[in-house]
Amino acid sequence: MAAMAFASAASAHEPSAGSTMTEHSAPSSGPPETPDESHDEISALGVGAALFPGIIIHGSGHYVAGDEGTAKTLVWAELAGISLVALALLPAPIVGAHPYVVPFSALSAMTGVMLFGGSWLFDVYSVLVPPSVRGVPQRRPSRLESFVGYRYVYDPIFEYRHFLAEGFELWLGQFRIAPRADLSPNDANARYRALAAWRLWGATPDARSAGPQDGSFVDVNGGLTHHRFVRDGFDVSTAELSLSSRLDMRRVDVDLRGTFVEWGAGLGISRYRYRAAGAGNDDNGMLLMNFALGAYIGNPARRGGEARLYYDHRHDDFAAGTKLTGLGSGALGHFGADLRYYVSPSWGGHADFQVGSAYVTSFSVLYRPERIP
Amino acid sequence: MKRTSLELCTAAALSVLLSSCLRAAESRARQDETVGQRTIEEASVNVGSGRAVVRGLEPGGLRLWASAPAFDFTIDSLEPVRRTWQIRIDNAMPDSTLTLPGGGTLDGVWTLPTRVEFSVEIEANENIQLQLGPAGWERSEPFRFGLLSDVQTAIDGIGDIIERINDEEDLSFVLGAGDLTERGTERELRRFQHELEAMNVPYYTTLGNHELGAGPPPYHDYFGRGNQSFWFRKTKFTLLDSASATLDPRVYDWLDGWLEEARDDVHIVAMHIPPMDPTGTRHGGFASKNEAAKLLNQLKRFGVDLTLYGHIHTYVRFENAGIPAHIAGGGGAIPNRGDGIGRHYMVIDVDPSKGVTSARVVEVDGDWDYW
Repeated sequence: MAAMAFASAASAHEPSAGSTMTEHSAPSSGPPETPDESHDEISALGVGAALFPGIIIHGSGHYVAGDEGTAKTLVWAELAGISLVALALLPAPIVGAHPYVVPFSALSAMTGVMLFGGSWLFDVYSVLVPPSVRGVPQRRPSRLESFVGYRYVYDPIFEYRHFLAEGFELWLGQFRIAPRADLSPNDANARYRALAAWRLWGATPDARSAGPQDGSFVDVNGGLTHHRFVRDGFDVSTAELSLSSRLDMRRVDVDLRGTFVEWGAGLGISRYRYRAAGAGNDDNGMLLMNFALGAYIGNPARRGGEARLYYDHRHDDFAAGTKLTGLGSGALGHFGADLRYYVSPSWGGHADFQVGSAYVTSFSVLYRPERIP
Repeated sequence: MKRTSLELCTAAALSVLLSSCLRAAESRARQDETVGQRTIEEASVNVGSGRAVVRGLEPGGLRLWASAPAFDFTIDSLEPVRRTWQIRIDNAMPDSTLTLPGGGTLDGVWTLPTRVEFSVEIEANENIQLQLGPAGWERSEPFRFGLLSDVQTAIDGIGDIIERINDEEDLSFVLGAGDLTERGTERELRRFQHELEAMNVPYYTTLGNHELGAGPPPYHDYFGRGNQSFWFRKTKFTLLDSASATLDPRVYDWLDGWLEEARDDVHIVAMHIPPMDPTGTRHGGFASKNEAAKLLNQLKRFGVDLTLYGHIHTYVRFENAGIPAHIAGGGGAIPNRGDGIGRHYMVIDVDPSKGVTSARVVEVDGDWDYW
């Protein structure tokens, strides 16, 4: 969850984790970075095929455009996704919603959906956007990035609506901290969150690769959150531990360069403190999972950023879980889309939209004092 | 100007569309408000607080499905002739009588343990108010009730459970916390009601997420309100529709009133999906844990004595916000393995002067006491 917290928060609401590999920790740089200018022309047939039958047979766009290798990669990813979802469904008729089985099923299902959705979206994106137009990741993360912004939350169950959001991310070697606060002055609702992360693999402000730009990373995250609901009579404090990661898709197939996936998982424990007399506290665990499908835009070091579609299994934040009118309401977390874009080496913006139990819209101004090469 | 209007309409439509996604239970809460009302050319029927479903209405004939032990209803004759009305009430508490205007009571003819029929003369253009209820339902006396939920695909085996329930002594009624059926189709709901004919006591229930698998759910036409509250022997029972892992905002308004009414009395609240799944990593509770905490704080603040849930196919006893809670999803739907419990129901004793005095789990193939 912290993964989500970091993945969705790290690049959504908090400073970006995108960067180049470090020389000492980076793995091999994957397929050679040899832009194929012959792909710069958009194949209308390829785009059409990516939409249909591509929505069923992923990779159709690349296949029709003449790139059988990437097409195979995508169709295998689709099949792997379907298999993982099927695997997730297997235990239910046998063991029911057993508490030890559900988290693994959920993780398998989420990963399957990520592979299934990603293999289609990346097929469409890569036949639609010529390589020369695609963005690149930031060579290394900024040592310091801060933001201030506005967040609007529409939740029919709660009266709060408007929040001031502010925070920063500070790197110290491979370690970083990222506190943030969301404050609603009218409703006495406030959410304070502090994340700490250790970069196990990937670029840091002090270590970047001389090789191709690569935003891949693996982080281990710890987080503390305190959320006060003064008007509603309770507050909740959460501690969490998670793993988060990003994989640049050029490592899988060079023709998918400019895109990436994120994946994270972890556990959290929350303590709910009620104001009602005699209510005491309730402690409740939480499964943290998230994934994102994204694409780099331009060069974030000068003018550019990244866009993502993401899923976050959190049920305890503003967006929380998704409500459905049919059978399966409550189990899913929330969905989101965000865009980070630097218009100059120091100034940028971030827009984020989430749908779950609430609609959450955020706009922030980003500032980084240090120039990124 | 036209363009502005179009833009406004589009914005309004989008707003409604977006809002409707967040209010997954709104249409059902609206349906609640219409339960118990039916009008035809010759007559109109109105059941107070929607505590019974009008299953059939024709000149001289009325069929109701009771959702509570006692309720008032009016028949408004709209025709200039006197008629003898045959009133059939299903799911009624045994020994219920019909109280007529002026205070007289009418004994009915019992054709099933929970089905009673009355004949009532209604004058031309008369508006008559009647009340159904068992003897002593307003007295402050100890009583016992059951809880049975989550039957779903195990409907073929419900006969065993009903037999066991019928063997329980002094049971006044059985509560249901939803998931009576697998998909909530009319055929499944009819089948469930047919099976209930073998039960010696009535079954008052709310719906579960498995009643939502058939387009617009026909549940309200069969079992009535998803959100309702009633009194029995100075004890308040509130059933909430949490089938979409949330309560609709208008239900919170109703709930405020129901909680206030029972602030000094024993109050038992039942719903299908528990606000907070005690095994949090399973996420078997409300979609928003914040909403769950808000609701639980509200229930505790008004002194709710017991919360009863279904949805999770096992038995768990715990506390939420300091309120004793039981998850009892033992009606036979795919059970959680390895938890040492199979199909089960609960038997709960209440003394209105003391509170909930015992809660016992009954395994259909063997039982033991909790508490």
